[in-house]
Amino acid sequence: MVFSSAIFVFGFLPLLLGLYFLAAPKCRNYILLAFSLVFYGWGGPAYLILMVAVVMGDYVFALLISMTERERLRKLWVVLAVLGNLGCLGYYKYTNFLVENINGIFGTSIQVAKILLPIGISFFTFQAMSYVIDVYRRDVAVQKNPFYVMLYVALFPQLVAGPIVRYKTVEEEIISRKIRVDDVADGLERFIIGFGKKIIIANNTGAMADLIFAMPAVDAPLAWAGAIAYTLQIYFDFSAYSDMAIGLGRIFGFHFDENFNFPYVSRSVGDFWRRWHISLTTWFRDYVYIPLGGNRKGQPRMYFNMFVIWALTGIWHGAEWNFILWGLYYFIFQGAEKLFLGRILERIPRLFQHAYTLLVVTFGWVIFRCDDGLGHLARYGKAMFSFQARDRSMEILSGYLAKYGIYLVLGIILSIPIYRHVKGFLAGRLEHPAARTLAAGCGYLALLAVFYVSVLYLVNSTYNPFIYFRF
Amino acid sequence: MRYMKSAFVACFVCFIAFVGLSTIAGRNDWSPTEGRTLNQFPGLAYSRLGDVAYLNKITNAFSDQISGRERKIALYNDMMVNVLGQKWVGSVAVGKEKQLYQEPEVITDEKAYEREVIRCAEIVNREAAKVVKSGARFIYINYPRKDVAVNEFLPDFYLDSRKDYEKYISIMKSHLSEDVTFIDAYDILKTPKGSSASEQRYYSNDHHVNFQGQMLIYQKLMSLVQEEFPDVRVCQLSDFHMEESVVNGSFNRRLGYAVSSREEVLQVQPKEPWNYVRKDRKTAIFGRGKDYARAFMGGDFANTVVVASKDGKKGNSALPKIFISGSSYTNSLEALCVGSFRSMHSVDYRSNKSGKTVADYVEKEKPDYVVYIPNQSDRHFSYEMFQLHLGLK
Repeated sequence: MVFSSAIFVFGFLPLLLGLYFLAAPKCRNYILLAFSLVFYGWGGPAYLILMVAVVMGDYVFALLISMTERERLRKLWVVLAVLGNLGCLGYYKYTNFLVENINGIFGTSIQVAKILLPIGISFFTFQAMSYVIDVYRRDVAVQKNPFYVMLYVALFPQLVAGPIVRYKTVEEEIISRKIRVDDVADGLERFIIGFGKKIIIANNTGAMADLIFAMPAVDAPLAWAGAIAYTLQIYFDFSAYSDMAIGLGRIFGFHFDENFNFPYVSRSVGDFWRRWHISLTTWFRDYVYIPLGGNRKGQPRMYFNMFVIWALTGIWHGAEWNFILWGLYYFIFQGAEKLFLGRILERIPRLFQHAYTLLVVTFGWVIFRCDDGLGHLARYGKAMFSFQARDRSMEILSGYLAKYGIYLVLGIILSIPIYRHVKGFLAGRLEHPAARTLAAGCGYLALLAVFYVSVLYLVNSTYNPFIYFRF
Repeated sequence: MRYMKSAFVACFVCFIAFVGLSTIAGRNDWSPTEGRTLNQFPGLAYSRLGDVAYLNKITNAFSDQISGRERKIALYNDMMVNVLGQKWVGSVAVGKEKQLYQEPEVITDEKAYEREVIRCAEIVNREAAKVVKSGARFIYINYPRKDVAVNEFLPDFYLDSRKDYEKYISIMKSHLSEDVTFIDAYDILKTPKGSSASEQRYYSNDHHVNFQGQMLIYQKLMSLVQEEFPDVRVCQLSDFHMEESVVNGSFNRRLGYAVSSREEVLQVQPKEPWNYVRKDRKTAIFGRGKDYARAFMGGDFANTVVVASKDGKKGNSALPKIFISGSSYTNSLEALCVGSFRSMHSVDYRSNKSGKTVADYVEKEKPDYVVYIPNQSDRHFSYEMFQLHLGLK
């Protein structure tokens, strides 16, 4: 099921809200779990069993780890748990890719049936794995109630496209949480913002990007327009999902960590990755980079560790060469920033820092997008930097801008933290309680209007899943 | 502040719950704005809850049956066109003087475009040879898209599609065999530069050629017929009573009628009553109604067979017979042809699933003329449409 679908907003959500808030507190977790399983199973009931099996496997391993003080045995259980999760992820996500490449390189003809990717497998395996590792590290106490572990992983807001929530973040809230109208209202506000971002901006900039990336031949103006449209689409698509997930979590009493922090205002690639998909970056930092030695074992080792992290980040996104290339592309830039580029960037005006970052990130998204073969990427990249325009491309572009220009502009404006600034500004200026209430009332009316307009867009649109569903 | 927050939450929850409940109660069959059948909720079947297809049906029905769907679509279009001033909404472009157009067709692979035109010409040649062998003349009429013929009112951003059209016609002409008589309707439908919006030969908010435009096509067709049948009757505009009304055109329908339209000639009636027997159904060939399909032939049907007669029963054997294959583009042309031919059989292969090709019909019915119109509204041409309207798909 997709957050931005009519059945979710007008069917699943009101039913869940009604049952959840009317039920006795002790029943609420079970209601949430049942609805979360329905939510996941709606898109493919067959994979529900897989997801439950993965989580229950991790639950058992965590229990086994907690039952012994023998370090070697604890290590054995955690290694088995990690191998189990990675094996599952590897089988479903990378088998076809591996076989295709073996056949391509060695000329063999190994036949493997097309393995369909279970929705959200990269997210739920990482989340489940982190729980076992945290128990092993004694960062969290083991959870003996299997339903609670299941709820932690399967909680529908973050199940299929993150953010990757750590058990520590929700440990206490799973056991006991209070319902506050503040949380519900703030959660709804966040949900509506995400809903609007996805339906109004991401879907429309995405439509423009789709048109241009599908063209067999593009020139510089169209290629750049497509790249910019996709840059906006992926941010508004993914951050919208995170907004909706965080908002929905808040409605039900959970406080998830932020996953985005206005990444397009970054002033370096390093800065960008501290603001983009924060839950994945911190996951790799805590569970791979630091255990490998991080930057504590000298520079060569640090660069090697960075290389590993970026290769993993790339391949985590998908079993295609372009994703690996995309990861390594960021390794090069972040490595260069650590070596010398960072010092240069510090000395140049901020405008150039932003320009440099946006250029790197935008081209990065082109690598990310061209997942139908490196030939497409080569053609597209060449067109971007050819600085050549065909006769009709400006005509075609002006047509697309007439249709989608408004969403590009809206996207660019909302990529900067303007909403946060306005809210902060008003909170600071309005001291009289009546004025604050009035401003809040206007704000809520505006949010309801945004929601209604988004519904109008939703009714006029076709099925449009989130980009990160496929990861 | 807390009351404010509670009110906000209550408004939101009440709204989604209300829409949800009224959606589940929804039983709408048809979306007039989108012109399509809406998905219905399947019957409750617990045994199928694990079946993805069944769950998808529920999802699709929920989307299609959403409460106030048509009103929401109209509101969306109204907001886009009249509030945000968008000139390209969905698949419709809003031109000057309230002329509406299909969204531009962007041709990005010119070589593939050329190859496709040649493929089209080849199948036309092949089937035309069969038709000619059966003793009929094969006339292929190509209608340009509205944006090609009515290009003075295009919105500023719109791609000038005349070049693409000209290229298509030039390749097509050079690849058609002698069996095919080709009429490029562009030359007929294009009005002189500076003509007003009301002088155009397409409806302002629809992709169809209007009655005046179809009359010109019909007369061109009849000039070919007169080469072999000099005594055949050719109608003139003056033979008709013409009534103006606001046309419920497909473009405006897609916009939820967000653009107000002026009155245009839609309903026509011959001044002298025509004697004909319609074999396929009892619908009048010149009908009433505010859209093109109802005004001419009563709609798009798989088969339309009309026999003209002097006394309403017997055909006039001195007149030729015509067979027309096309889509709704042909409706008003068919109606006009009834007045000049002994029999008129038209086939719309979008609905005709008989499995018979044009050549099969011709071999059996032995018409004198076969008129082939493979056009569609969203592209200059497509191989699929060429195949379809020859009965090959």
